[in-house]
Amino acid sequence: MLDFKKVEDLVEGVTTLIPVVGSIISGVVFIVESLEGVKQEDVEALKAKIRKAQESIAKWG
Amino acid sequence: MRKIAISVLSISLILVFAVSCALWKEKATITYEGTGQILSGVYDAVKPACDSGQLSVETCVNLKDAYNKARAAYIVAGDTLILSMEFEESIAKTQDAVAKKELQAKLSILMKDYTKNLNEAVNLVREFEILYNELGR
Repeated sequence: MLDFKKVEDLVEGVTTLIPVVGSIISGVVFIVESLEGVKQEDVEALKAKIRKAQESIAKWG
Repeated sequence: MRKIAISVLSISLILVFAVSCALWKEKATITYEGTGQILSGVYDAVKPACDSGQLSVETCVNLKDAYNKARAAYIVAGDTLILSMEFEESIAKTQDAVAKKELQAKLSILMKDYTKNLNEAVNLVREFEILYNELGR
């Protein structure tokens, strides 16, 4: 007989997993596409980008 | 899927330093930003699932610990990258050949630290094996 609880757990797990895999793919795509069109930039602008990236990572408190 | 994702990420990180030294600062920044997008995306996907009780408490404690460690490594990697850029500017301004050589050696160590810390952050993906285990329950 079909265990509905198990099916429900599976659906919830997959629902969480899909966005995780999606973020990995979109991050890798961003890296690959940006590397293709890379051009020289001002060092201060690069430092600002790094600081902005650091600030965008929330702490799981 | 997990192994593929890790391989793709490792390849991306290696590409930045192996292909060419030209535009290394720009390439390293792109890799850094991309890794940040992955970490943010993972957080946005998993935290609500934990908050709503979709995942077990044990799983969430482990994921939270892994995420916060990855975040710390990511921030250190960013600081190291900024320091590396400042070092390179100093090298360009230095006239003394001996001092220049010393600075270049230090820059090389900094870049190794940057790669190590960023790889540690990427290793967060490995911790998501916990999610697969949750699926098997």
